[in-house]
Amino acid sequence: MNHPMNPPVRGPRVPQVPPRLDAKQVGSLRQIENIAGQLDGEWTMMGGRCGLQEDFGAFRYQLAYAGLALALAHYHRLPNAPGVFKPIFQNLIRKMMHPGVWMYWHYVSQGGALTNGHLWGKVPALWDPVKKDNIMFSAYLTLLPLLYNYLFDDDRYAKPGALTMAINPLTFGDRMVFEYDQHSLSDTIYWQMVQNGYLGVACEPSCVFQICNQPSILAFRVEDFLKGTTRAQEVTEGYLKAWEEFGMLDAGAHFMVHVVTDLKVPIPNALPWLWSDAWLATMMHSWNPDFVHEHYPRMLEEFLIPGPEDTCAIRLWEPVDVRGVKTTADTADFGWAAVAAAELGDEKTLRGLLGHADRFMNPTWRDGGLYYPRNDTRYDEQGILRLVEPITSNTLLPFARLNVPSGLNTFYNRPWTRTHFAEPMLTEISNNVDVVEARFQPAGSELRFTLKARQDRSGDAEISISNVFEKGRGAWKLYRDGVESASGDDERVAGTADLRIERHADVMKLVASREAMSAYTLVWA
Amino acid sequence: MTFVTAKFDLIDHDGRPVTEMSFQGRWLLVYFGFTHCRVVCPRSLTRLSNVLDALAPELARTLQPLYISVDPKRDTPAVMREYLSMRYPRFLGLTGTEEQVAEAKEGFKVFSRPKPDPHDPANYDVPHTAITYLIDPAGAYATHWPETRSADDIVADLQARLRSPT
Repeated sequence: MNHPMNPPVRGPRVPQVPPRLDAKQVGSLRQIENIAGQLDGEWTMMGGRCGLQEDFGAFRYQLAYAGLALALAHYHRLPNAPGVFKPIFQNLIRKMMHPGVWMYWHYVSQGGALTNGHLWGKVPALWDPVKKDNIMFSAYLTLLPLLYNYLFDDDRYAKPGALTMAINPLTFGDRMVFEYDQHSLSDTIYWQMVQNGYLGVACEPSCVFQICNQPSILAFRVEDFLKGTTRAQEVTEGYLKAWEEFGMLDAGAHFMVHVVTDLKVPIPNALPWLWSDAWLATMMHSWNPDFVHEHYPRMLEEFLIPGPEDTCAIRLWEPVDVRGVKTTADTADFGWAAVAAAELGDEKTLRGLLGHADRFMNPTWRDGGLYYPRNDTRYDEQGILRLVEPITSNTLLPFARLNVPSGLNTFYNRPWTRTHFAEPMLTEISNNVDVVEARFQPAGSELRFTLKARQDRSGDAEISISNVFEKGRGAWKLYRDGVESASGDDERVAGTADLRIERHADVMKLVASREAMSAYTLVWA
Repeated sequence: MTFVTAKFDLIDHDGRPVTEMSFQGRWLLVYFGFTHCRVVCPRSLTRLSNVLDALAPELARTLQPLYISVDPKRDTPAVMREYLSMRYPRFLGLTGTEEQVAEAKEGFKVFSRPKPDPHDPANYDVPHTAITYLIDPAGAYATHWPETRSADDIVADLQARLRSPT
């Protein structure tokens, strides 16, 4: 793992030790776990207003940003509890490869969109959702496994064919198999970037969106962490030069939305849309924070609506005429405003938007997950914003709650080193407890972790802690709520009546009766 | 998965037809550009010339540096010969018809797009990919270095690769 080139880090410094997860943050994690854990083809709570996976609430965006929310929560809040996140990540990647996520590409690859209608009938329909264009899927399919490799030190998706998408239809065509791995995906995107002069890779044919190329930049950065390469630096430098021709901002001082490359026509944010500005501000804040801080706050001002008791909402865009039909779509303007506020450290706006959600968007608990049921009503009779799109509920409000100020920027610029992966970690956690704290303090040589009992589960808590015995750390003591409960050294373990501790190679397995909340400290002498 | 096929069918600056097969048995150091380029090409070609100077002579002899034009309209073989022989004599210039150059660009995933030159309205500029490619003696892509890589890095990388058995 290399050390980064020190691109700018901007915004408030991350607190050394963020507080324990609160109930809503735990509920956010559980909501992501719940949607990710559904069987193949099941999309309960995920269906939005557009049935064609075309809009910005499509399954791929829900899954991808759920993954990024997990990544930031792991990195910043529970760095020594990979066991909380790793199984969920595997599920997100599994679901991302389901044809229900990517089959839209066969139709979208033919052109005919609002800004590439001139291509309809002139470009072939494609099945492989990665090989050419479609960065709106390929970037995320690349990002998730690279994040997985980086966060969990597990290269299972680097093996040839590890990311294989297939369909074997019963009623048409033939079996089709598209085999990739995290690096061949990255290379596929990279060489398209090169060939496009770093402007970016198209989503639908000839349409290169700024926003949809940001996750690929992040993917390159994570791959750089893994391989010691410098693709992200190369691509971002090229990106800035390439966009000089069209402008990263439009005449209205909003972020330029996209460029129709074959016509060389930039498409401004003319309505304007908040989602476009807020989403880009969030993602670009990772590598270009000064530019974002210079421009985004003024963009946001146009949309914010103050509400009661320090809550706030946002102004939605009006439905637009598409081929004579008034049309709207899931664009998650509210959700992205919350995510951007969290990333840019705008605590007032974040608090206001989350307050609005909790007051006016019907917060609901299900299987430990906090969600906001889909509501297609834009505003009620009092003019209060009621619209809830599934991506906002499932992914973006969790993202906003779990991130920390400049969380993405810090994640991009201060990668973990190998030292992190040698620390004691909670690698397996029974699903009847929530981990609300898990952090190793090298200075004091102590692992602190706190477990809360889930009210909807029973049984003892079972935890596996890795990197305990074989690193030569010596004698240790385990305290539970301040009381010494077990002790041992590199070889020996001695538990007490209410704790059962076993050694399995380098792993300490701990079985304990569940209390409402138990704070553990594992300290080495 | 092969992204850079490194295939080309062009004319060298002495007027001879050449393909990637013409150089089999030698490593190729390939850079795309155009002789009217004011900044990027002079900087890159100078850096690459320094790289070649830093290599031991026996290693440098195994390497054929190529400069492929993305501006065939202006870069005739004679223009390229004059440009390179005066400034960057280690390089062999390659050019061709618009179609031949387009195919070579495709083989290396190279971007270039003419646009008006703000410093010279009567003329045009050709922003282009500034990557240096290394092709192995069998004609297969070996690696590449973006513009951001230092000469020292490239020298070190070349020394390791050219010394190892292919």
